[in-house]
Amino acid sequence: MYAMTFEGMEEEDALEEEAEGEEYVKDEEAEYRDAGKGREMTSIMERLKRRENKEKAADLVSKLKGKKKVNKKIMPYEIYATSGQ
Amino acid sequence: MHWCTESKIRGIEQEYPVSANTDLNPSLLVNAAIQGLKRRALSRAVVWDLATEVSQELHESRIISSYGNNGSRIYNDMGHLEISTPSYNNPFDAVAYDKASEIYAFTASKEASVALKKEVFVHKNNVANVRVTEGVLKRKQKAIKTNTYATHGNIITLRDACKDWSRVEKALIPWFITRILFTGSGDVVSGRFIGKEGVKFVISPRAMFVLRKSSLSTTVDRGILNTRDQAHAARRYWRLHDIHYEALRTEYAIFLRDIAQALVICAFEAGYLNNAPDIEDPVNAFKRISVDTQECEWKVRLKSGEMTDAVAILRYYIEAIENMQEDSVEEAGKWDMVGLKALKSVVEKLESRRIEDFVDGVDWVTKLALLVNYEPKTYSEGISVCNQYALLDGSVMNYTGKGKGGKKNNSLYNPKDSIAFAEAELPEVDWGSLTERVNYALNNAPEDTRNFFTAEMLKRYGSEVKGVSWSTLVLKEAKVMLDEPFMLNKEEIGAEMAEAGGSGSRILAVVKELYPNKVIY
Repeated sequence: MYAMTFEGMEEEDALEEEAEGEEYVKDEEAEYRDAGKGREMTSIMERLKRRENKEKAADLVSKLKGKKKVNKKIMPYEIYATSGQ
Repeated sequence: MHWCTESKIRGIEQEYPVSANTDLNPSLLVNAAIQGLKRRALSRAVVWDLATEVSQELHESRIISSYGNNGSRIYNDMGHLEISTPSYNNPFDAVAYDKASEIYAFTASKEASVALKKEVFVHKNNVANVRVTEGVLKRKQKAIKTNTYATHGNIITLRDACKDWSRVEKALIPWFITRILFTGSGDVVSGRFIGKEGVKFVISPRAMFVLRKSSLSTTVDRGILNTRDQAHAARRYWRLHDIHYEALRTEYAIFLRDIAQALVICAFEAGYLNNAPDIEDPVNAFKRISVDTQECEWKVRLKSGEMTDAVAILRYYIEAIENMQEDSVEEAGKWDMVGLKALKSVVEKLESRRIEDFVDGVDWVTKLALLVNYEPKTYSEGISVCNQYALLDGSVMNYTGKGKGGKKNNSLYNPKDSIAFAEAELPEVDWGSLTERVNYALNNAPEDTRNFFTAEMLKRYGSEVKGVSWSTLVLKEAKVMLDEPFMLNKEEIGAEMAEAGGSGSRILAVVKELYPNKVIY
């Protein structure tokens, strides 16, 4: 969840999770539609790689969990600035 | 005698965004802040002498400048409060004068609040994430647009070393790209940079705005390197204008960036970086490293086709600096040795990916840790966490020892945690004296550089000063050319200053004796 949150924080987290779930199903369907064994293996390897990357991705975030505890309330400070140099 | 890095004068130019929950024009807010500093007697209006400006004269001629008691230049730069520190020549002063700059900016915001009867905030960061509505009719949608403003660094460099710009690019581009692992300020930027909606946390927000290897412009089509030729000194010097310094708050990162940069520039001048790794597509590599905040692989493809990572490239620079020091007939100076040791230590941790060890020391890691622990549910909350870290509030007064620390302060940056990190990682540095040095830096220019002369002349004989710039002082009687970085420093002219009494003429006579060719009547 954190990995997704920080990869590209969106206004609606749930929507992103849903979207990714759909993508996963589509991948599975594609895998079974394709006949070649080699292609299937590639797909599995790709998925394993993707899972490995996700685990790695969560790693820094999980290592940072509890590392910086601050009890201050988050304030909606907005910065109104145009581009400069 | 100046050791390698101590021979390099350098400074930090920070553009601070000034904000208020009102529809006042940003320039009005900035002007109110600048006026406030004058009211608090931290600065005075000056005429900026343009006689030696050869490339930015039109831009410079439109600027109304103030001069800080500490030798800083303060002005409204395109709707931002720009404070350029005086020139210093060691990493401890890099920290002290950067913190003095923060205190100036905070004080300015408080004064602006009084003047405008509205709470005015100032932040130290490099991006403003603005909600915009795009499209027409039913296709209208909300999006985040990221504006950027800069933190620039400058360091005096030998012109001879920069004559062949391809040599500069080869030696320094890999450094600029990879140093962000410890110099990145971290922030959220529009997700569109990576083809997504919402926002994305990146190591270096500035990296996302780079479009080419080198550029003259600092506002559009930005390069990794900037080719601006404003020596602000004799022609044999080049002032390397680094448009990828970032808005750092932690002492450790400010210190390490300064000393590492000075060591690298020394190695560059001495020819130890001529075989730096050739990166394939450095512009994209810069962005790829910046967005890799989770896997932390920081992969880089070289022109040879070989894959490496950013940390291995940092290791190359360490070896070059070591070779330079080994070959040198002179012993390395104190800061050179502290700097190299610190750089090796940070690279070792990066190599083993112990990134979490940098919380409170490296800004991007600290901001990411805050995000992790606050668990923002929306991008607005993510933006707020980063903005609140960048907020300059009463906590900056901790650096003066007369702190207004406590529950009233909202900034998520914690000076106590930050200094504790610096003390643990850099025990060779006398951090206990930082408060004293910051207090000095609020009202005095560094003793070792030419800024000492200008700042003292303005304080003592302000009515006789007609104009100033980084490299000139215009008196009613004559103009003094401050071509050399260390001329007329405290050691050279401090005693005469103290004894001169009420007239600047006596000082001018001493300067004429010391530098007959630098006084123009």
